Amino acid sequence: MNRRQFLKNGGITLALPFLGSLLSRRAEAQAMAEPKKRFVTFFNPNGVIPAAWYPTAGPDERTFTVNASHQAMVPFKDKIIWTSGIDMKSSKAGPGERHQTGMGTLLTGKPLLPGSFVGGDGSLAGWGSGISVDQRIAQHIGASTPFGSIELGVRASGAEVRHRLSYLGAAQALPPENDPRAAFDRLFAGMGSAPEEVRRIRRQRKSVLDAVMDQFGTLDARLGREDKDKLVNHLDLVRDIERRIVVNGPGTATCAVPTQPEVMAPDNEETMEAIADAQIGILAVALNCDLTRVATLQFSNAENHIRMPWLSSFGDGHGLSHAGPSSPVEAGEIMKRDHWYATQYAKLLGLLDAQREGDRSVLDNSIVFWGNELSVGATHSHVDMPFIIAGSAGGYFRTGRYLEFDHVSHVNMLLSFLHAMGMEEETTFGDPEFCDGPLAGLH
Amino acid sequence: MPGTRMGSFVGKVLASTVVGLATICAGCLAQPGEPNELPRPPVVIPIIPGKLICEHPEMPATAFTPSRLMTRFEYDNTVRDLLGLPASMTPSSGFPAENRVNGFDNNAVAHVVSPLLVTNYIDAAEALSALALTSNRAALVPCDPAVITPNACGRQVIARLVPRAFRRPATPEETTALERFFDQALIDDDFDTAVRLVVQAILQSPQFLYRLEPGDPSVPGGQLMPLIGYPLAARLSYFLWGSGPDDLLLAAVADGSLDTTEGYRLQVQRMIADRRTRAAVRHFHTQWIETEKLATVTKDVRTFPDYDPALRASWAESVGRFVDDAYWNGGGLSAFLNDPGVWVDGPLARSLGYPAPPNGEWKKMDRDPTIYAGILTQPGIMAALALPNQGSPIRRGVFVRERLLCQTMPLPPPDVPTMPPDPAPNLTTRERFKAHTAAEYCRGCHVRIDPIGFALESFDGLGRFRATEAGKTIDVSGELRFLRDASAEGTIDGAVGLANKLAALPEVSDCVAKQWFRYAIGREVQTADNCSLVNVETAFVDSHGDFEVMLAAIAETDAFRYRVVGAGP
Repeated sequence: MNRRQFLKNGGITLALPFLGSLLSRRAEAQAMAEPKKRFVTFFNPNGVIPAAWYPTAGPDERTFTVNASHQAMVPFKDKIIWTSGIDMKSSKAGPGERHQTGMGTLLTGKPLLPGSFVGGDGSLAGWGSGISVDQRIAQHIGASTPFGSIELGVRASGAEVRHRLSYLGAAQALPPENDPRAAFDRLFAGMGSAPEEVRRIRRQRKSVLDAVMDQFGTLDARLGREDKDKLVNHLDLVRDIERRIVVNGPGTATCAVPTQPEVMAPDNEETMEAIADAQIGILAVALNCDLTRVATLQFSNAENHIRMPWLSSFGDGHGLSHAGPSSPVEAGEIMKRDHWYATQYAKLLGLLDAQREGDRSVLDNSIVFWGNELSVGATHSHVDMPFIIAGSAGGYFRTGRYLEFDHVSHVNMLLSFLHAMGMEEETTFGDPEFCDGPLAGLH
Repeated sequence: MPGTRMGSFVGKVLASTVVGLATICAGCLAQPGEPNELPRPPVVIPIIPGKLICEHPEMPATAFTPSRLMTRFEYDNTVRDLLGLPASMTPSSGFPAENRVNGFDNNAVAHVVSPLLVTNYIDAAEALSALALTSNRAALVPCDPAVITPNACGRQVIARLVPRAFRRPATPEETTALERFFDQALIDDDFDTAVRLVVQAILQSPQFLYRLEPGDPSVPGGQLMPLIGYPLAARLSYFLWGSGPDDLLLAAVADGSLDTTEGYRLQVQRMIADRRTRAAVRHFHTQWIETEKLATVTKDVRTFPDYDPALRASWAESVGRFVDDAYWNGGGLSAFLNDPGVWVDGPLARSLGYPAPPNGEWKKMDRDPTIYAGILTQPGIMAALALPNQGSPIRRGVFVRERLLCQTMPLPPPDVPTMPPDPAPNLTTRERFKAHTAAEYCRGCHVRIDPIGFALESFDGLGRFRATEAGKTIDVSGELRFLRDASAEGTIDGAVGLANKLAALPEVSDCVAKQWFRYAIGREVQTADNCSLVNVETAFVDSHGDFEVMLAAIAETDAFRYRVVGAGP
């Protein structure tokens, strides 16, 4: 298959016809009354070139000009909130240099644990110290779907604090799936099979997991507390998967089966563009089909030693970012990358917006948050983060605006995400020292 | 017998002299001025570790080790050995990478399950159970269900598989639960399906996936106790083989011989001599000397038009064979650091300009010992420590500091440009990188890095020898300073000079011992491990760098033979 074809086949053209069968009229009516909300995090690393990033403000927050890097997002301008003036203050309380703290605090709103990762300032940092906002949201809105959340990556390789965004809890970093083929098989396995075959597989799998849980139950009572905690975490995951297997429920076959992506070498510059295409297509179908309501799509990682030859950007990504805005050649390469990431973001928005759900689209019912671990690579700053929010969470956020904040803590924004997802009773998130209420003006 | 020394020694943590030189890379620590931000004070860490001293060798001591979850390498080896599957099978290839600490994948604290991994376990167990039943049925099913009834035959399947899967005899509760599950499966499905399902349950059980070391009701949490029996056997087999104990090792536990000094040493020697140790040694090196990076290394075809992507695999295998020689052909650490030879297959021979061996075959080439010496002149290492369009004195210098000297190098600070200068027609690498050590701001760190990397400038981005660059003779003079022993510091002449100097440094030998020790115990080395590590260092130096002696010495340490009982419920 042509590497560009996957998205076309799997994403847009197939996504449209199955909606009717996916939702009964009753469900549709329900969807109108109470939108199915989704929370998506889109990530790329090492900061941006601000001069081509931030909109030019107009006389009011609805009148602004989208900047060069974001031209691909113009069709969705009314459904996006651009921000400036949000700082990641919570990164400063603990150990670590800014790549580490930026990754670890972006979604957790907490400083890092102490550990053994060496930072640029010589400090020794550990993992993130608490649950990330996407996983907190998944606990709330992800219970009824086959997958509580899915974490996808595009060359999001590596396995230490600079490479991870999502956390189930302190030091429990979630790895992303970087292989579209594996992601596809995991999400869409069994689709297209006969209903009785699907039922049989589910019944057997459920029975095996029950037996596995029984084996957990026989474990030696003499294990220490640390080991018990570790095993309980494992058991909880098994239980969660077991609980989601609905043996006699409607087969996922009602959701049109996208085309299986071809085998592609992961973590490779020659396949990166095609992998991005495939992962975005898979993610969109998974959200549109309601296989999951919480997802992360992570491009690269804070080390970011990647080139983008298809953009004629042959510099090492991390090196380019250190040079930054004052070096025109490097800045030019970063802007090309910023523009490419914005195009990927827009592609995802388009796929979600094409899916109707009641009188709204899936995008309307979602938050698609675009984050970064730095604001500007050359300074490794956590001031004025380049955060963008698309979708209104079913009308909860007022979109189509450019909001200029006065150095507010990004943890307030994370709390706003909780509220937007239906958790308005929550009064704080992450480290309470950096959270004094939801971000004013979003709602 | 360690049991006689068991007791209340934990808490009397040994004083040590790990202080080292608590220097920082002066000049690399300024933070950019930004609105609303205060500069953070630099944190001082010991960059050059001092010589460890064991102050109380008579007192057994170690630190707590959490239960350990199988890594992908261990999972693959274990299921292959357990189910009799071919060595080419890597059922964990789609599992997420383990969280890394100190470069190693087996850290007991960091390597934990995720939802993705638990799903992967389900998928792998389903595939493996079906495969084992079709390809190796006789080993799995020792009976005929038509003759002795399906239920009775199922009991035999369970009785045969569980002790090897759980690495100890099953408890009655474990057996009963599995038999009940099997009987229920027989009601819903046929015999073969029931076997597959029970195999899946076993492969996802915590007793299989984790090495669990239960405490003893008479020993309070935090106390030291000798590790004996089945858990000790599992520590040994996963350290040396990255797999479960074989039948001989389990038998040595059952007859009590493993818990005698002589019986333990016999098993250690037998296991080191086994081929499975070779695979585990190679696996260790893919992480310690970072050859795993070769799998995804990028080379720019504009700079290297004849670059053959098949080289990625050839480089890695070539280094693997070189490591094999040092470990198993008597060469030891000195061969590792000084052997000028290189293993080549077709693609690598063509890249290096040697006659290619017949397709698929490997040949070891002798090379000029005035140009080549040891691991640092292996093309796979030099190609991994390089950029797409050039070599990298920075990566090479940092590699020597971190991986061979066990020193700690901070990351470059934010406001320092880290773009490597592009190759220029009239400049050598040394000339292009001069700014690093010329600018006061960069010197603090780069005087430690670049003068090592420059000595390796004879090797280009594909690890090939070159005498000239940009039309000029390459200057390979360098320096090795900032060492534990200042009297050993001095200038070096090229790769051979560097290798000779490193081979003469006790801290290199100690560093190799420390990297292995870290890997073996699967956690951070603590002060309470000082005597253990010192013993390994001493055994390695005294044996003139004999790797087998060092591996055996690790198996003799308190850190290996004792455990600290976990905290209470």
